[in-house]
Amino acid sequence: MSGPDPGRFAVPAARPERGRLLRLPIGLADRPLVSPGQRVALGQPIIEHFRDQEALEVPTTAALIRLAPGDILDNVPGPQSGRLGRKSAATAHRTRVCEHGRDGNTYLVAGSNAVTLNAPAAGVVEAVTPGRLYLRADGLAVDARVGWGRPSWGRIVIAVDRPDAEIQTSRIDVTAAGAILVVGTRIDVEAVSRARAIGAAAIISGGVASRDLRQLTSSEARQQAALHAAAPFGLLALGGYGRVPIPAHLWDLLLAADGRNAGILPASRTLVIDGDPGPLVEAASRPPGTVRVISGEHRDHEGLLVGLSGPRRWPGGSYAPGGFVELAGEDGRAERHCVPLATLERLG
Amino acid sequence: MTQDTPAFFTLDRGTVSTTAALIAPVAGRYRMLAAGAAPAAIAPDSILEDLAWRVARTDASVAGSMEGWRDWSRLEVHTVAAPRGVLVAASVLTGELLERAFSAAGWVIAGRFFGPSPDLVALGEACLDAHVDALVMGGRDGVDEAELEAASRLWSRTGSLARFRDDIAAIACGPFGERPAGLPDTRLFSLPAPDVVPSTTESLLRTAARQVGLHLAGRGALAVADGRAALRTSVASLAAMLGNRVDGIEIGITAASRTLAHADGRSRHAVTAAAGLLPAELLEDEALGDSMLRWCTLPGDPAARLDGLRELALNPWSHLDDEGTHLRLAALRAALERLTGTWAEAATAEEPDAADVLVLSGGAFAAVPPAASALAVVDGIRRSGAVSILHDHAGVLAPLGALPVESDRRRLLADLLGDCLLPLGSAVLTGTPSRDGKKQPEAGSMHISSVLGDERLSLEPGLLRLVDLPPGISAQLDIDPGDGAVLGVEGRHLLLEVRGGLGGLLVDTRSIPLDLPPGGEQRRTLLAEWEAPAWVGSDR
Repeated sequence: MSGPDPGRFAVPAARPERGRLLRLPIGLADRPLVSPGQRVALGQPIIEHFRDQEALEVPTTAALIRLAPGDILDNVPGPQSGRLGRKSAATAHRTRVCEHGRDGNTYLVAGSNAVTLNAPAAGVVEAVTPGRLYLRADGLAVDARVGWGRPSWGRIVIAVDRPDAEIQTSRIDVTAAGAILVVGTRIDVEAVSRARAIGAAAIISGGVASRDLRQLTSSEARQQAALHAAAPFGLLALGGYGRVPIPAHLWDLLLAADGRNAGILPASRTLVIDGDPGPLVEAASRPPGTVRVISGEHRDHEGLLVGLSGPRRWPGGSYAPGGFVELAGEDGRAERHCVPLATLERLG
Repeated sequence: MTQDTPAFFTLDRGTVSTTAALIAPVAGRYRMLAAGAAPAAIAPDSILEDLAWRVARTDASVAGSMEGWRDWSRLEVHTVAAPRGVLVAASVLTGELLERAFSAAGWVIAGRFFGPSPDLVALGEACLDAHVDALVMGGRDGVDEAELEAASRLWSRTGSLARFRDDIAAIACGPFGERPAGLPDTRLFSLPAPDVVPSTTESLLRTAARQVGLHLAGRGALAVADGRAALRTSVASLAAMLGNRVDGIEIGITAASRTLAHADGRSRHAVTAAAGLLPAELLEDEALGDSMLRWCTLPGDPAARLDGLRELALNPWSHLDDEGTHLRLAALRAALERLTGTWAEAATAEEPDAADVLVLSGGAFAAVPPAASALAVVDGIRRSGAVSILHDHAGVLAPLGALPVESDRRRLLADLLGDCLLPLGSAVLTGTPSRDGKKQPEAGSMHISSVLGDERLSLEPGLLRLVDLPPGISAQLDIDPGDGAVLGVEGRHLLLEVRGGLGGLLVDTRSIPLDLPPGGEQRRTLLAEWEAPAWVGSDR
């Protein structure tokens, strides 16, 4: 009886995927601008989103009762809000139906302060429900670990020269306008603010600090309160929390995608890169048996898993199975290390 | 498993890990020959092949030829991610009863709308949250007319809002005769009304909520037994077999469960999503992260520690280094604190929480050293008394709970007790009653005698000491309460026998509950001082 193949004990890394089904949320008052079967281009308006929503009720009529929850009802007169005996001008609301109540009223949600959500990927609309739009993306979908912000799109610009570099705020200039900036290990809040002010569409980094996310969220809340909506902006961290390099295979993929258009969906932590996926997949591919160390001393090194060591005791005092990995040393020669199998992800 | 079953595997497939063991008859009784665990993304067959290969390489004669391992029986249980629900009720009381049932059935409560007129926009937005599996409407008979009318109205609203999504369920708990239009049968569930029962007591609604939750979270694909229900069965069998009160505590990554079983068959049980080791909410909820870091003894920037915790939540199997282990221990203590908080709400004077044996299960205990596990338990489960602490290290108890015949389970438990339940040690918690300014009595003492020698400890209040008492060694404790009372005894000596384990004997004279500074360096220093013995032998 021969021993099991070591590669089977390393968790497969998330693979870039063609033709992913993207799920875009539609708010209570929002309106889809596309219909099932329709082809959409990257950046095309697909949802009219309302920043403010309010509940309204109107008497249910024979005409209204035919509308289902989620159906559109326009020109709904608003409540008279005059004060001190004066009559205010009646406003007509744009609403969607929520419920035909048992009390003889129909409950609606009206939207105001509209903004347009543009398609974060080219593709075909597969379905539209009252609460969600399903878009089958043409491009290559890449999974991130952390997402923040709103869906946006732009061209990919590699702003650093190494996956573990950290961008200087001063290096972000007007060329970042409309771009999805790839910034290496991490980016601080100051640099994010500058990128946003210049008009960058998104940031892609290796890691992001929880503290920075908290500040970004506070800043976003302040902007939400502003009269005019800020341009959509999002952030994806491909490696995780803290100071983390962009994984080497994804760095290679991004290098191959430099200059291409792409979109991000922070809520589902997805990057979708437009154009022919072939060269991108090729750039990220690795020979069979290649693994990446995801934590510990050799974090983000790639190598070959060549054998199993069985259960071992690790520095923290816990026991877990180990594997022998050949990693490239500083002189380029292969060095064999024993690492916990659970800290490996299989690339090839 | 029957008498003629040659060898079989147990498999406990969780949301993050798969734990497996190979069991075979050896010299007339069943023995556990090998066990292992791996991330859930690894194919179970790979783990089983590895177990068979390890045994074959060591001594193939033990279990016969390993070539036929693929055909061996598998005793398998599953645990799914906690389902998430938004609760709606026409009154606060009905809502709280509804929440009690669903929380104890392992649901994550993603939103609460208790009252006759919830905000339509807020309820609608909660329904549109893609992570929510169900809108749950609660109602009761015997309430006033206004609540009945409001409940009927809200059920209609709940059904309408559910139509905004094509993948959310609408669950009616109580007397709702009306069927919402436009929802397919597959998304509609009718459950019993909420009862006035403690959260650790079984109710019709809780049982039904657990079943619906498993169906929704498992996307209806499960054909094998629920791991937590099976673990409860095994803990009850163990209590009956040992003739002791057994407290089974299971901490998983996304949820936890606890079973307190008596020898006479009575038991209390609850599944609590809020007590998971690293719940998904940690990625958004800074307060939850802070509550975990209050238990962390690592120095440095708390913001960086939060990043570390969130990294663990993303990759629970990663970071097996010193820092990762300390963060896991902090998360484990916080999870036990949350579990105890839920449990304490249902504790009664008639049925105290006391137990003779603590059995620990779940991946949370496997990733920290044994002494640290024992320490986390005495920090989290604060009750005076002496208790033996065992660890279900191979995840065998839950699969055995899936056996349909009680006698088969007890026979296997009897055979496998020594192999599957790793002794972590014993703990004696004397507690320190508050004196409210009165003069402290003279501290008692404890005389510990075993084959390793004799030792005398002063039972001075506020200390935690670790006494070396290896597995297989028993010790006699002669406790002199001094001027006060120890474990409810005063004026006479108290004799106890305790058993050793990998963590040894913990003698804990700290207060019950723990009197800790709320945060800061002072708290960290105190915790570090207490846990220092738990790291002896590690590379800290």
